[in-house]
This record gives sequence, structure tokens and C-alpha cells, in this order.
Amino acid sequence: MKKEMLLEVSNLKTHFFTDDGVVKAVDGVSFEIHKGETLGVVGESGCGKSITAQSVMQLLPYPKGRVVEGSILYHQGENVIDIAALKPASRGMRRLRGNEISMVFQEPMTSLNPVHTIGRQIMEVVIEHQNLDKKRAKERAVEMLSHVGISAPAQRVDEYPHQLSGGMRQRAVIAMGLACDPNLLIADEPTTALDVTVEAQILELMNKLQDDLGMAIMFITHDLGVIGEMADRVVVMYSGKVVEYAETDKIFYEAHHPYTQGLLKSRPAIGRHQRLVPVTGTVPNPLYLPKGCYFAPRCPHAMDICRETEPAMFAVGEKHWAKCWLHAEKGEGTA
Amino acid sequence: MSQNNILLQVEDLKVHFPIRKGFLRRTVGYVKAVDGVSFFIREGETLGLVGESGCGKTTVGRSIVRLVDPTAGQVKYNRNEHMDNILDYERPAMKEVRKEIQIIFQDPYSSLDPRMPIRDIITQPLDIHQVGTRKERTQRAKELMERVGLSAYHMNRYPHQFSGGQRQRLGIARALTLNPKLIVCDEPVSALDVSVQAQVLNMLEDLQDEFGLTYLFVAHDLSVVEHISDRIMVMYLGKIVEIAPAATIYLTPGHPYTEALLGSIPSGDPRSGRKRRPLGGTVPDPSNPPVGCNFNTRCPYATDLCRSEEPELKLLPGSDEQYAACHYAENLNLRSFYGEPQSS
Ligand SMILES: Nc1ncnc2c1ncn2[C@@H]1O[C@H](COP(=O)(O)OP(=O)(O)OP(=O)(O)O)[C@@H](O)[C@H]1O
Ligand SMILES: Nc1ncnc2c1ncn2[C@@H]1O[C@H](COP(=O)(O)OP(=O)(O)OP(=O)(O)O)[C@@H](O)[C@H]1O
Ligand code: SF4
Ligand SMILES: [Mg+2]
Ligand SMILES: [Mg+2]
Repeated sequence: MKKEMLLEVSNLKTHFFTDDGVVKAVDGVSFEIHKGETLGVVGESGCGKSITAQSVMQLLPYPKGRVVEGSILYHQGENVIDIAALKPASRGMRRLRGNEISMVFQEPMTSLNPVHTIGRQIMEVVIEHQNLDKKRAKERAVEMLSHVGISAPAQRVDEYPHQLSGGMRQRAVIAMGLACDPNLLIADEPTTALDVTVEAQILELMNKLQDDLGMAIMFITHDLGVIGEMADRVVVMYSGKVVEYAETDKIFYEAHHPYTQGLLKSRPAIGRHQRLVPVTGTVPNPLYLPKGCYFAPRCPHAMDICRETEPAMFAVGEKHWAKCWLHAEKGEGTA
Repeated sequence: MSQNNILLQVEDLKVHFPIRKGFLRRTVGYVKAVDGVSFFIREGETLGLVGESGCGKTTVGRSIVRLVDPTAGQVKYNRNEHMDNILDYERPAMKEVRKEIQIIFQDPYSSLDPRMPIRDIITQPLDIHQVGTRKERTQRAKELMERVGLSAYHMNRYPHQFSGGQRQRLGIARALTLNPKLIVCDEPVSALDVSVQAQVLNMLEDLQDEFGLTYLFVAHDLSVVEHISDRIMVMYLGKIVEIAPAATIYLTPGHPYTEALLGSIPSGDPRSGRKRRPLGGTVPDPSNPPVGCNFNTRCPYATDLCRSEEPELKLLPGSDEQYAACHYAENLNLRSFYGEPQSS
């Protein structure tokens, strides 16, 4: 089955121009998302996951942070739109945001207004994007709340965010994000702030909604366990760069990049009573990045070339790339 | 392990926080944060404590170091073979005991005074207890910094000049200054990235071996707790629902809530074929807990008995270490972490 392309990010560079210098938050990131699939984006704090998502949504704190290079191609049927070339406040971008692409954040209160009812907030979204009258919009809000598993939706629709539990708030935000039937849902750590039992409910819900509605999901998390369950393919990021890119199964069983391998070994797993093997050291300061491979100072396999020259993304298998000199003999890839 | 002395014994601990309302701040009810909790910790062991947000984990930990005043119950600590209730201690005696019982907090950002250079942060407990000369204290700070993997060269820096993982190491160094016996670790790795989390977990294990430390290890991440603990205690809504050895609990859970927690963990292995089994519903209001078993509103096995009578925490037959508070603990065929029922 040939998969239809939805989003093509190529050589994306998003930099922050701060008083202390330029922070290359996202620095040459490329990946693809096909219709209906889930792409996982994983990496430690500060590696650029959220800024990648915010670049796609054009929600960067402009002018401090901006896309300085690369393209973000959104496929709208025959039409291809380069998001990177759109102005954040332009009509074209506003239409994409909400109608075609929507976003769910880690902290549900980022997306909710505490002084308005849940229902009103969902209604605002559908009224703006779908041209419904008030009555129909309210029906749609109730329908969406019931869709995300909120019980007594006709009553909840008139409640305020503080009247809901953390898990219910996140459901409401997902309902808001899905109210316009988007083709792509960007979920930035949607369960990180939640308890494991609530996380399980939300992940289950997202899987079900994806089956029902067929949207693609860009799922951002630092939790490899969640990635293993949710993603079809995975992008592993380190210091603003993609270091490995492959199908989920390959990331877990045939990881090629020493950083991916290190992440997997750092993780405690139920029933495996071995001493953990952590990646030593910490991520570099984004203002003082090391020469060569950014991972070299922490890498157990680092060679002379690693400390001098940045490796390319080398193809290491079918649809599998790793940015590491250990795999140079396989030839440069195109990811 | 089981022949080791009991170091800490908590009996029927209750912490009820008043809910005040209105102009006169009248008490209109109580949040039963901890409601009749009993357990013990043996010398040199790690007892894990898990449960959902708000179930009372931190309140249990803080009661042990007396950062909150319990409403009722006893916290007995073994001093020279005497189990004394330290809740009865007056200040001077408590100060002595506090040398032996330390706490590490979840948030390495807010638990360190931002205006203090880290030498002072680490030596502060020595200052308070007037141990050693200033020179000796500085020497001790140096040793400790190196022991937790930080360069003593940075002793004059301030907390904001360190990363989250380094700050957590500082918190650990400070807790070690007075050679404690028991450390309450309240979510010490929850705010850390996996690679740094693994570094800190290994370090806590090494320190335990080296100094014979005893840990009460609080976390909401079951895989972390299962990794580090000898025994695990599961709390729900202010009560203990199960206590069992770590190796037992994920294979043969004794309480439906433990089963649900295990079923919620993402497998993290795309080939395992394991399916998540989410629990329905939400945690009830802790100021108005359900009658009977407090899990009955979410429990798939609940009967009328569960809705009227509260189950006691009791030893399960065929085990000398697994306790569960469920009327049907002996009859239910609960699923393991892997999803299979246990009788086979
Ligand atoms: N407003 C800003 N000004 C300057 N630098 C910023 C700003 N926002 C983010 N950054 C920097 O950009 C880099 C990437 O940040 P980003 O938020 O994308 O990380 P992340 O992978 O989402 O991390 P986390 O897991 O902590 O959410 C970091 O080094 C961060 O410090
Ligand atoms: N000082 C206080 N005053 C009033 N209520 C409190 C106080 N401290 C805690 N509580 C309440 O007691 C209950 C238990 O809180 P506690 O902090 O012990 O939970 P926890 O299990 O540590 O949760 P978390 O996983 O979120 O840290 C909660 O309902 C909380 O709101
Ligand atoms: S390029 Fe070198 S330093 Fe970087 S990950 Fe590969 S082996 Fe390690
Ligand atoms: Mg982020
Ligand atoms: Mg807590």
C-alpha cells in the first residue's frame, strides 16, 4: 500500500536570537508524516522537540525565534503549501491551524481559558473554522466531549476548567483539537503531567480517535515506553538535530546510534533486574556546542573524526538512518 | 533481608488537613490525606511507595521527618534497640533523631536556597548541629561533592549554575552530610531526563551499599520503583492497599488497584504484544471518600460488601510478605504486568 504524504519537513532550522548568542534550537531537521500514521518524536529535555512542533504550527515567539532555513511542506490534496513561507498571522496559516493541523500541549491549562466554560471554548473553535450557528456549534461541542469519553457531556459542557480533573481537562483539550476534524494532530507531551492510569486512558483514547477519524499524529514525548506503544515511526533528536530515524520496531531492536542505544539502556524496565547503564554526562549547553558530533563528549565509541567533523545521516538499513560515523561505510542517506 | 532489624515502624498514621471556608475561616471538613497507614521498614532495605497524585505519598514521607504534624498515630524509630515514638519527642531529642533521618525532595529547583553558595548548602546541616570546625565542615563538603560526582572546584557556585541532575546530586549530598541512617526520597528522579535519572538511581544504590542506608523511596513511576525497591507499598486515597516484595507484586498483584496500575504502564516494547488495560473513572474527592472499600467506585470486582465494609490490610495465604486490603484478595485471579492471570 502506497502511503500518501501529508507533511514533509526538510532541513528545518529554527534559531533563537538571544542576548547571549544564537540558540540553534532546531538545526537541520528532516522527517515525513504520512496520512493516518503516528510519528513519534523522542529526546531529552531541550533537544528541540517543542520548537519543531511550534515551527510547524507557526507558533514561535517571533521575532526572537524564527525559521531561518528549510521547508515545511503540507500536502492538501493536489495542493502543496510551504508553511515555512507563510506569515504566522496570515490568513493562509490561520486556516491551516485549527482546520487542518491542531495541537495539544503538555499542560492543558495552556490551551484553556479559565474564565470561559469548556463548551464555549470548543464552540469558538468550530464557529471560527466551520461556519456553524451557535446551536449547531453547541451540539458539536457536546458531541466532541462525549467522543473523548467525558461522561454527562451535556452537563459538563457548561462547566469551567477548574471543575474538571487534570485528565478530564486534557480530554477537553483533545476534543477542542479534534473539533474541526484535522488531518494532523500535534501532541506535545500530552500525558507527561498525568498519572499513569490517566495516561493510559488518554493514550487509549488517542488510538481510538485515530482509528475513527483517520488523522495523523505527531507524538512528542521523552518517554520511550509511550513511543513504543504509540508510534509507527520514530525520530530521535539530540541537541537540535535528528540523530536516528526509523520504524519503531527498528528503534527498539536495531538501534544504530549510540545515543538511542544509551537511552534504551538507561530506562528501568519492569522485571529486568539489571543495573542500569546510563549515558554518562549531560546534554551540552546550546550556546557552546562541541565540535564535530554533538554526542561525542558522552559517546562510548567516539573516535578522532567524531571530535572533528559532524557526521551525516547515513542510511543503515531500509528506511533507517543514523547520524553517526560508525555507520559511514554504508553511504550517505537522504533522510 | 528478613532477619534484619526493623528501623522504622509507622502505626495507624493519620494526617487530616482542615478545609477552611468563609470569612471566619471555619473548618468545614477535612482532607484525609493519610488515613490509617501502618508499615515498617527494615534496616538497609528500600521500601518503595507508589500511587496516583494526591494519594498521600508526600504526606507520609513528611510525617516521618516531622515536616507535617500527624493527626493521630505513631512513628516509631529504632534508637539503640528501642522503638521510640518520635512524634512524642520534644525539640532537643527530635534534633538528634533528625540527624539520622533525612529527606530528598522532588524538585531540585525549589529545594535549594538560590542565594547560598553550594558549600554552605551542603554544610548547613553541620552548622545547625554544630558539628566540627569550619575547616572540617568545608572538608566534608568537598568529600561529599566528589562522592556524588560533582567537582569540588565548583563549591563557590550557586544552585542556578547547575543542571537539574546536578542539583539533585547536591540535594543528595546535603542529605548525606550528617551520616543519616534513613533517607526519605520523595520523587528524587521524577524531574530528570532518563539518562540522568539512571545516573542518579545507580548512585543511590551505590550509596546504600556503601553506607548501609535505608530508603523510603516515593515515586509515581512504577518501573523506577520496581527497579530500586526490595518491597513496594501501594497507596490509594490515603490508605495502603497493598505491600509486597517488588518481585512478587508485578507478577502476582494482590489488589485490584495494583492490577490496574500495572495494566496502565506503557509496555515500551513494540514486540511484547502486551495491551494496556486502562482503569476507568477518576480518583474520588479525598474529603469525601467512598464508604466501604475506598476503591469500590472504580473496581471492576466490587460487590455490595465492598460498598459497605472497609477491608483490612491482611497477609495473603501462601505468602509471608504480601499484604492486601481487599475483601476478595484470596479469590481474585488478578493479571500480572504482562497481562496473564496468575494461576497457572
Ligand atoms: N524563547 C526561547 N528563547 C531562547 N531559547 C529558547 C526559547 N525556547 C526554547 N529555547 C531553547 O531551544 C531549545 C529547544 O527547546 P525545546 O523547548 O524545543 O526543547 P524540548 O525538546 O521540547 O524539551 P522538553 O522535553 O524540556 O520540553 C532549548 O535549548 C531551549 O533552551
Ligand atoms: N498542607 C496541606 N494542606 C491541605 N491539604 C494538603 C496539604 N498537603 C497536602 N494536602 C492534600 O493532601 C492530599 C495528599 O497530598 P500529598 O502531597 O501527600 O500527595 P502525593 O501522593 O504526594 O501526590 P503527588 O504525586 O502529586 O506528589 C492531597 O489531596 C493534597 O491536596
Ligand atoms: S558519531 Fe561518533 S561520537 Fe557521535 S555517536 Fe557516533 S560514534 Fe559516537
Ligand atoms: Mg518540550
Ligand atoms: Mg508528592
